[in-house]
Amino acid sequence: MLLLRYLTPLAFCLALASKSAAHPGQADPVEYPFVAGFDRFYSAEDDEDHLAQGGMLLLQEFNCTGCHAAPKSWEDRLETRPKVALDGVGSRLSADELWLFIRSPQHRKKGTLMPGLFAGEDRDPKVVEALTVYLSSLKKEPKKFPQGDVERGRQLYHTIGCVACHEPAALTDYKPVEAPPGLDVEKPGLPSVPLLLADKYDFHALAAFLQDPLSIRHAGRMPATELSDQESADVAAYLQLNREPSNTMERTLLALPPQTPEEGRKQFVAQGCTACHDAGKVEPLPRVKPLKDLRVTEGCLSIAKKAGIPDYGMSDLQRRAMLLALKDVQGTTPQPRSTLQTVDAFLMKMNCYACHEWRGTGGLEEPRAQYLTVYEAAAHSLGELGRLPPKLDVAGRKLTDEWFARLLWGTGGGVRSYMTTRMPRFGQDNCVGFLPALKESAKPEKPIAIDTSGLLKHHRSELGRGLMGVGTGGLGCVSCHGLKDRKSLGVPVINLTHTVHRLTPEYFKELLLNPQVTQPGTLMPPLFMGRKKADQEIEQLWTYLKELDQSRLPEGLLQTGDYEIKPEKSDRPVVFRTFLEGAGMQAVTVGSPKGVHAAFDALEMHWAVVWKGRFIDAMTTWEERAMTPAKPLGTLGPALPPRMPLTRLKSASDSWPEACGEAAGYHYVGYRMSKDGTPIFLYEVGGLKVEDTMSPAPKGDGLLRKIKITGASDAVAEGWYFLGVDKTAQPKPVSLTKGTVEFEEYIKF
Amino acid sequence: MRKYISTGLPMLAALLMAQLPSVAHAASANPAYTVTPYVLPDGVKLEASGLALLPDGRLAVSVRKGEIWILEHPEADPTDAKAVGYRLYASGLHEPLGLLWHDGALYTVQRSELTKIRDTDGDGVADEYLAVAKGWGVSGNYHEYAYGPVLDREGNFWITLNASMGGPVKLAGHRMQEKHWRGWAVSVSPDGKLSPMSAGLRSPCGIAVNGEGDVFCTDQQGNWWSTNPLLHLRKGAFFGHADSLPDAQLPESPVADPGKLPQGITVVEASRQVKGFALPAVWFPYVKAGQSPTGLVCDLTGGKFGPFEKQMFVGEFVLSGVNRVFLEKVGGEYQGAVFRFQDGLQSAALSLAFLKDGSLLVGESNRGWNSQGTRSFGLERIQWTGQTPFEIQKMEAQPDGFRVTFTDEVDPATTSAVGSYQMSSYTYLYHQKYGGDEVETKPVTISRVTLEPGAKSVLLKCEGLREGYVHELVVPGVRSKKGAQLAHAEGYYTLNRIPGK
Repeated sequence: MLLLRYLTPLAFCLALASKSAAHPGQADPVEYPFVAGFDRFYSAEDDEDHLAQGGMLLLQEFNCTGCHAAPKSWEDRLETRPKVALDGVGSRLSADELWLFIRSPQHRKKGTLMPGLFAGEDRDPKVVEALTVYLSSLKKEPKKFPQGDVERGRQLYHTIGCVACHEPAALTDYKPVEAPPGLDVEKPGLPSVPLLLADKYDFHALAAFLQDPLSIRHAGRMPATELSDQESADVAAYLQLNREPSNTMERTLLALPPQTPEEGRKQFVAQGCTACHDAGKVEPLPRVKPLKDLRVTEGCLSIAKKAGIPDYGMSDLQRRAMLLALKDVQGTTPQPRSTLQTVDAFLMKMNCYACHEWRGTGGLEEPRAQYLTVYEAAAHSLGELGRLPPKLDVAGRKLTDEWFARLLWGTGGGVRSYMTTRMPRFGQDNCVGFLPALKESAKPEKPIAIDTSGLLKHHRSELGRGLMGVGTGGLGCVSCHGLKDRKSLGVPVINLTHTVHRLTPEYFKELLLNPQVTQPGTLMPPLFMGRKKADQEIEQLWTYLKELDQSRLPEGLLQTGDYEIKPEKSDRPVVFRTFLEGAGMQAVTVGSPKGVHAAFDALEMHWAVVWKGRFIDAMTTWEERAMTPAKPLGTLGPALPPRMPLTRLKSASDSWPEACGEAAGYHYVGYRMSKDGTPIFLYEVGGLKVEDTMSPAPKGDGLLRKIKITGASDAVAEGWYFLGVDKTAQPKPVSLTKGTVEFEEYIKF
Repeated sequence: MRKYISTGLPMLAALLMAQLPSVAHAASANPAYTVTPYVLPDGVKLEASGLALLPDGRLAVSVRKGEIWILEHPEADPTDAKAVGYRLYASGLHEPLGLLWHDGALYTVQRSELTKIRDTDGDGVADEYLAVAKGWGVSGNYHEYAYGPVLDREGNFWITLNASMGGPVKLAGHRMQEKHWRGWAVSVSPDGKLSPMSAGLRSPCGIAVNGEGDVFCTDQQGNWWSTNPLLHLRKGAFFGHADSLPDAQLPESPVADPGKLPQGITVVEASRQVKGFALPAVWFPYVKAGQSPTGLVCDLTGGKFGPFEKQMFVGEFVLSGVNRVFLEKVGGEYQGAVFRFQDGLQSAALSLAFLKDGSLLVGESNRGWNSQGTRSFGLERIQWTGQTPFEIQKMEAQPDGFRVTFTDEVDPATTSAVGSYQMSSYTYLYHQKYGGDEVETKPVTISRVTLEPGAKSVLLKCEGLREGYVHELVVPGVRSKKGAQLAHAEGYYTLNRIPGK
C-alpha cells in the first residue's frame, strides 16, 4: 500500500512528461498561483514602489479582502473579487476529482488561485471528505451539447484567441498558421493560464462552461467567446482529447466513515469557503483580522504552513510584492490615481493586455500572435492589422456606448469577419465602471466638430453614396470596405454597415481627415488630404451611412451580375482564362454563341469540362481580390476523364497511363484561332504535333471534337494510340498518311 | 519591470505625416510638366497593367481583365478619343501584368505563362497565343501575380513572381500543389528555357531594364520588407523575403540556401550575416518617397523629357504619382537616390512607358486596393514643357560626402550656405513582421559646402556617413539663380557603399 502511494504520483509524472509534447492541457504549468498581469509586468528587479503595485494586484486577484476587510480609505482599490458559483459543481466534476482538488488545489491544478486549507500530515481527511460529499450533492444537470469534433476544436482553440492566455499545443500537434516558413517556431515566453482540470470535467459541463464561463466564474477573468453550441462542444472535445480516468485510489484507500452533506455544508461555512464561493444563501464569514491588523509572520503570508490557514503556494516574488503592498495599506492612505493609472490597472487586472496594446504596453507576444490568422486569404494583405486585435489607444473616443456594451457584455459587434480571433465578453458588472476612465484617457487634444443632423443640405445621403463608390466622383471606399451583405471589391477591411452605431462621429471625422495620425499604421489612405470640401464630404458620408437602410448601395457594389460573360451576344466564340472548377488553375474556357461550352486544362493539356446554357460569371476573376475560382454556370455535360489523348502502347488492350501533362511527356504550345474564332489547341508529344478543337455540334446537342495529328514522317507514330473522352471510347492506332491523320468525336449532351 | 510591446504594426510617426500635405500641392509645384488624362471611349475600361510602344509609334496597352488594346495615335490629343483611335487587339488573357514588343510580336506574362501574341493574317486582331514558357507554381492563391516580361542585354526575358499568401486553394480538377518559384525572378532564354535567378521577393510588381540592360524591379512593403525597395535583379541574389527559400534547395536554384534567417537586426547587419543577401539599390522611405512603387521605366528619350536622362521613373500606387531614381555604380554595385517627381495623378500608377515624342505615359488601375487618386483606372500623359525644372538632378556618393547636382544654375549665396542643408541617416529592421519604422536614426553633420565651377553642383562634406544606411537630404534653403525654390527639396540616398572605402 505504501508502495502504491509513492508509485502513483511517479507514474502520473511520467505520463505528463511524455504527453507534454502534444496537448495544451498537459503543458508545463507554473508552480504558483498564476496572475497573468503580475507575471508579465513585475519582476524581482523592480524597485519597491513598483513591486508594491504588483502586490496590490495580487491582493485583489487573491481576493484577500474577501476575508480581511480593507481599511475604509482603501476600499475602492481593494474590491472583493466576484465569486465562483458552485451550484451544479457536483455535476461538473466527480467526487474523486473534487476530493483531490479540495485536498490540495495547488497540487491538483498547478497555478490555481484557490488556496489549500489542509496543510499537515493527515490533511484533515474527515473535513475534506465532508466537503467533497457536500459539493458532490450540488447537482444540476448541465445543458446538453452535440457531439464535439476534435479537429474543429483544435482549430478553434488555436485560432479564435484561446492561446492568448492558454498554452498552444506542441508543434507536432498544431503548427501556427502565421509562423514564418522555414524558421523555428518560437514558443510563448510568458506562462499560460493552466487548464489542468478541463479533461476531468463532465463533457457537457465543460462545453457549458466554455460557452458561458461568467455564469460560474463571475469575475470574468475567463471571458466568454461567443461560442455556438457546436463550437463549445468542439473545443470541449479537443480539451478532453486523451482524457484519462481519475486517480481514485487514494480516496478509496483512506476508507473513511461516510460523511453527510449537512456536515460538509457546516465545514464549508466554517472554513470560510463562502469568501470566494456562492453557495445559495449568504452565510456570515468566520471572523478574521482586518487587513490593517495583519501580521506577516502569521496567517496566509507566513512561510510556515499551519492547518486551517489558507496556503496559496505563492512564489517568493509574489510574497515579497504582497508584503510591500500590505505595508502601504497598513501605513498610508492611497495616493490618488491618475486616469491613465486607472485604465492601466483595469487592463492589467482583466488581462486585456494579453491581446491589446495600449499606449505601448501589452499586446500579444509574437509566439502567441502567430496562431491568429484570417478566414479570407485576401486579408493577408492587411498584415497584422488583418489578424491581430487592435490597439486600444484611442478606443475611448472611437466607440460609442452602444458598441462598448455590445463588445464587453452584449452580443455581436465584431466588424472584422476576416479575422479568426474574437473579442470575448467580460461581463457588465466587471466592465461598466471602467469605461469613464477609458474615455477620459482618450480625449482628443482639439475637439472636432461634425454636423450629423443631415438636414443642412438636400441629397446629402446621395452625395455620400457617390463618394463611397467607385467611378466618377467616388472616393472608392468600397474598394476596401464592404457594406451590408456585400464584400468589398478589394481587400476585406471593416464592413461599414454599422458605422454610425459603432463610431462616434467625431472620431469618424478625425480618422478620415488624418488616418495616420489618428491610427498610426492604418492602411486607410489620406483621401481627404487637400480636399477643399472635406468637412462637408465627411458629413455626407456619415449621412449616407446613417441612412444606409433606405439607400442604394454605392457604385461598385451594385449589379455584380453584370460580369456574366454572354457568348450568345457575340458572333464569335469567347475565350476566357480563369481558375475554373473542374478544370484547375490554368483553364482556358471557350464559350460558343450557340450555347455549348468547353474548358481546356492548359496545365494537364486535356479537355476538362463541357457544359451548356449560361457560360461563366467573371465577377470573382475580375473584381474579387480573393479570386475565388469561377464555375461553369449552365448544365454540365458528361464528366471527361482526366487522361491524355495519345500514348504509346504495346497493344490496344494495354492499360492507358494515368500521368497527365508534362509528366506524360506532353509539351503545351498554345492556341491559334481558326477563321471563325475557335481556338485550336496545340501541343506536342513524342514527335507528334497535335491540333485539338471543340466546336458546337451542328444541331447544338453537344460538341464536335477534331484532333489533327502530324509527324515528320509516318513512322513517328508507330505504336501510338488515340483515346477519345467518351466513356465507351476505345484506343485507336494512330496511322499517319503523308505525315497526318485526323480523328473526330461527337460528345452528345 | 518587464513591459512587452506587442508585435508592432507598421507605425508611421506623426512627424512623417508632416510631409504629406505636399502630396496635395505638388501637382501644381512642378510647372515644367503637364499632366493630361486620356479621355477613353465609352465602355473601354483601360485598367492599364502594361504598356508597349510599337516600332511604328502605336501603343499597345495590356488590360488587367485580359485584353490588349492598340492606341493608333497615342501622341494625338489625349482628350480626343477618335483622334487617338482605340482598337481591341487581343482578349481572353489571364490577368496580364506587363507588355513587351519584341521581334514582331507582343509578349505578356499571364498568371501561368509567358505568352507570345501575333496577328498572323494581318487583320489587326491577334490570332496566335503561344506559350513561350511556363512552369512556375500557380496554386490558385489570389496573390500569385506574375509581372513582365522585359528583355536583358543578352536577349533573355525576365519575369517577377509574387510570393504566395496563405495556403493552397482546393479546387476540383486541380491536382498540382507545389508552388515553385513564388517570390522569385526568373529568366527565359529565347528558346523558352526557364531559369530561376533571384529569390526573396514579396510582391515585385514593377520590372524594367536601365540603359545598360541591367534588370531592376520594385517590391512592396510588408512582411520582411520594412519599406519599399528598388532591387537590381541578378543571378544568385537573395533579397530577403523568406517564403521563396524552400525552393533554394532545388537543384535548379542559383541561390544558395542561407539556412535559418536572423530577425530583428537591421537590414545592413542582415546583409553581412545572411549568405547571398543582396541589399536593394535604393530604399524608398515609407510615405516620404511613396507607399507602393509599381512599374518603372528608364528615361532613354535623349533629353526629350527634361534633364533626367537615363534615370528611372517609378510609378506610385497609393499616393498616385511618379517618383524618380538616380542610380550610380559604386564598387561594382548599383546604389542611388530617390526623389519625388509627380503627384496628384487621377488613379494609382501601375505601368510606365515613354512615347517617341518623349512624353511619359502612366497606365493606371487602383483595383483591389485604394489610392489617393480616386478614379478606378486610366491612362495619363506627362509632358515636359521645355522649361527647365528646378530640381536636384542627381546625388552622387563621394568618399567624404555627396555631390549634389541641380538641374539649373544656382544662387551661390543660398547654395553655399551650410545651413541650407540638413541630413540624417537611418536604416530598417529585417523581420517577418509587416513593415517597419526607420531605425537607428542619427543626424549627419554637413561640415562644408563647396560650390563647383559651373554653379550647378556642390560638394557636401559630411561627418558620420554610415554604410548601408539611407541618407536623407533636405535642402529647403537652396534657390536657383533665377530665385526659384526646388520643386522637391528632399532626396534619399541609399549608401550601400562609400566610394573608395
